[in-house]
Amino acid sequence: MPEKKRLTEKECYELFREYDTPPRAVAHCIEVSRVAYGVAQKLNENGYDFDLELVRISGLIHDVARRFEDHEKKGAEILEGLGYHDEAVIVGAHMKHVFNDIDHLTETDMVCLGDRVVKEHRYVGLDERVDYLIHKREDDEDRKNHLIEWRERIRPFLALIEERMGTTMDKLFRPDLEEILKQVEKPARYIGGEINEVVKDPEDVDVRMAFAFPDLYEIGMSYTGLQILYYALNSRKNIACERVFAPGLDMEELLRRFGYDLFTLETKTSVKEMDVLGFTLQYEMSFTNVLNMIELSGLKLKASERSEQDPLVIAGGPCAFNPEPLADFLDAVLIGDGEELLPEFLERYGEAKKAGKTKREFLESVCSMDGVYVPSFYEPEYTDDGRVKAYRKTFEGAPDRVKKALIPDIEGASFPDRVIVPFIETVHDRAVVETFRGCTRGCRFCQAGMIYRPVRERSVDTIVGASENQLRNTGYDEVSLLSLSTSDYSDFEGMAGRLLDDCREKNVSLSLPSLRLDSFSFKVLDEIQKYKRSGLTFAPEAGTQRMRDVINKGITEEDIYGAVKEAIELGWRHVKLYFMIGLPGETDEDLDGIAGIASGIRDIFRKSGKKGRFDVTVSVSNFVPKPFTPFQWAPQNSAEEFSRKHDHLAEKLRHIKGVRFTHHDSLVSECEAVLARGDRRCSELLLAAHEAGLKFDSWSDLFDEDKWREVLAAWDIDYRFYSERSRGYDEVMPWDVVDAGVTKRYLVNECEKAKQALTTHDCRRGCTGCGIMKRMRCPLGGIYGGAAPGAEEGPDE
Amino acid sequence: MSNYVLLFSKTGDMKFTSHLDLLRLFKRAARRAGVDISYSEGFNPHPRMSFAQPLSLGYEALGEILEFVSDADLDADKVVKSLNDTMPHGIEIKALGIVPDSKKTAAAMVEAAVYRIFYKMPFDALDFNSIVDKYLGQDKIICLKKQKKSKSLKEVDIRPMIRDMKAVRGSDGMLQIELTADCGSRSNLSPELVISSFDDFVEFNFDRFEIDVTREKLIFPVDFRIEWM
Repeated sequence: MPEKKRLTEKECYELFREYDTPPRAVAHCIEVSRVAYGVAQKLNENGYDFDLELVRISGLIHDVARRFEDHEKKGAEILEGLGYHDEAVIVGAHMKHVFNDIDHLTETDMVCLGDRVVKEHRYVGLDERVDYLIHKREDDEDRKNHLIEWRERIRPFLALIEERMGTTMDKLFRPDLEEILKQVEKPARYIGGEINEVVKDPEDVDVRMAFAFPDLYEIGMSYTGLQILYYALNSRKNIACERVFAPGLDMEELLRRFGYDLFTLETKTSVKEMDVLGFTLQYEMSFTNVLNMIELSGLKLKASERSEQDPLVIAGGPCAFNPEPLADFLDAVLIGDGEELLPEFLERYGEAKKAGKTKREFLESVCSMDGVYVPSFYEPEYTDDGRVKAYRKTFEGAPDRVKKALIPDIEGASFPDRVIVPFIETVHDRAVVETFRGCTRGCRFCQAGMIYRPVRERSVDTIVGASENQLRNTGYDEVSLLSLSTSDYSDFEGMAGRLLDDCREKNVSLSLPSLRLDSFSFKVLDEIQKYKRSGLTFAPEAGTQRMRDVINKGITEEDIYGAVKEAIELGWRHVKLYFMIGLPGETDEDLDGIAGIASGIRDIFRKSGKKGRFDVTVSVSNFVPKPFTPFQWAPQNSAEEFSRKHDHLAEKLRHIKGVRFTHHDSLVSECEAVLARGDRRCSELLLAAHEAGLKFDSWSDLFDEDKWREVLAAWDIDYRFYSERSRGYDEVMPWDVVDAGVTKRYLVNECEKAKQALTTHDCRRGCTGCGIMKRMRCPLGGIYGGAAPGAEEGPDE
Repeated sequence: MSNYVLLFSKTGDMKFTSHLDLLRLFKRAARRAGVDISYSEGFNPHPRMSFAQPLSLGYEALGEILEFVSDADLDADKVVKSLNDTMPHGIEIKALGIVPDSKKTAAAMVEAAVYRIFYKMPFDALDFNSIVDKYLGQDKIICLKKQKKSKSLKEVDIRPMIRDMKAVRGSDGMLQIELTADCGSRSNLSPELVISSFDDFVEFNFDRFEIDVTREKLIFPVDFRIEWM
């Protein structure tokens, strides 16, 4: 049988010209042709036998007579006249075609299906196509109803087609990643490819981890911990660490719509294909993003529902010290210093995988490592009134308490000599050197000051070397030091002097955050900020001396005023003050003290005789009691009480000229308090929040107050049980399963001293017996005299 | 002290970075590569480098110009190689040149640019040659242009700023528009206005993200000399 004469693409284009087909209709025809052909091809792969060329060409020509009345009939006539019978039949039928039975599909079905899911020149799917048709003549009710009925008739047919194709239409015709990136804000968040990014061939490594930061790229890339771990992991030959961040809302919508899983920046690998998905938990209000990212990866949220093929989902970071609210979602939690624990953990996972071990077998084999907490090996029991009664082990080999991982000497620990340099502006976009870890001051509200003990310093040589290396390998023109209190470094003057010389020579600016404002610091600041005297920041934290003694913030009014005086002399014209409210034992007098300090600072400026503007910003955060602090037993203020205090302060500050007042949202702080000290039952709250679409809760413009209220109200448990309840010292805390190094005895003692407004000195001036000495010799305890480290004694707890 | 220029391309994923991103990137790349760039005097010294013409996020480019000042006697091969060694994938330095007339800057002199606009439309589907002729044959091509300061929309006739425009068939058979338009401080026509008015004229209904644009080169007046090294 001779080949049938078929219309060609070239002839189609000639016919478009001859019949003056509108360009939009031509664009539409091209897309219908593509979609019809794609479906037919997919079906052919699954046992059908369509004439693909007929489908393609008929799709292309189907609206050739668009300028004519009854265009499908006219089109058929034209084609018939040219001797293209098969094409003519399809074109003639395309407006009123009734789809055939799924087992007796024809080329006409293919073209008509294409026509039903293409709007203008784009595949959009049935719903959007029909919406568009309705929208065209909205006032015509009959037409609208007819279209809706028509849509619902096609829907089951479409479902059958998708079943036979083994994929969905949306997926088959989804735009590629590039096209998606063109539609989103800041597409460079998702492209990777930055300087110092590490891309490894998956074939060359034993284990691949997606390091997940549950917030936007700009936030996550500013976090030095990511750079430290990324560098430490990728330095190992057998490990590949790639990055993934929470996608922006616009990106998430497109990923969900087109069925894309979350992917890593380095190799665009679907997170689901990685061996490990590891979250860093920097703040409680990112927990909903953790859930959302697990879901966007195409994984089941609960660890118990995931399979052996799925990646191991783990987490670390400061919030991992109370892992319980996220326990149901995580396979393992890594607690403490990560730069040795994490690579070790991953290498062992690589070995276990090679040996064909199950996840459970692997977790059993690593759960006795310091810092590894496997939530499923523990089961909480509760008292009748809802407190934690005990933790029952479900696996005998699990330790009673998980000791935090601790690197005794960070001088030898891995530290990046190159960091990834983002293309887009991030919050902190500069070289960073961690000078020391931990803090000796003992502020009673501060979790970081407790969980990162003891203080461990890097040597000046190492710090200067790391700074030089990073600057050379990144091209940054700014380097910043990282620690909990920059000027507490034991040889701060020596270090700052060397760095300053180095930076001056290289035309690099040096940034020294969280300086104690003594005269040396001012000398340094004066030098480095000669022309950028924008703002000076203080954190008195509380308004009266009594309150500052309660929280053990060793700073006096004289310190503040003295520093301000000096700052004004040196030309600063903006002072920013940080305070907390809702601290244990706080009275309105303490609030008035905040206003008093603001006004005192204004007075100093007035008396200085300097001219021009002088601004004071009072920034108030709401106190959130945190685990492993002396205030872990304390009740938090209610949202109402916080709001009353905000109003009180606003009223007091309103009368002081040149003072700006900002404060945190009360409900955010309450939610944070619930999650900070929550137990495992909080996973239900997080699930509900996630299902309500809550995410990016730490972004003030995205925090959905109404929805959070609804979710909290609908929860079985009164959330104030977690935030506003005062705990007894003998109560079992959900995080008691973690041994952070500081003893409960020490925390109780500090809490008692707080009640009497008694201070505890900086432990460089004598060991204060926090308990960390049980783990390692504390290198800096008592270096400025007083009791030598090791003075602590007596039984723990 | 000499005025140097770098000729470079920006392709692939790098099109997703902005003008300011690129400036930062070059600043850091120069530091990494050890290319000696002069710093400005004053309170806040910054490297004396700038692009002849900003490029919109989303555009690829084949012949962009970065100018910078250096006290050093630069070796072209060394500069090009050391920069390329430290550039991300998608940025390629093609040449180093010197501007002998130190009073003239490329930014002040650039007067036009050549763009290639990519459509996902077969070239043969319609008679694009005559469509473009008809488009250009209009007395006026009125577009709404956002005013820089007031942000209000103002009607402008872009026809006089289009120097040349033609439809060509790409190697993939798709429609490409070659556009030469005013570009620079004296008169500047954003290809965005041409794209939107051309699409309106043809009655296309493409979304903007379906159309790609590459800036192929910048055009300078004949009396602006760059000595490529």
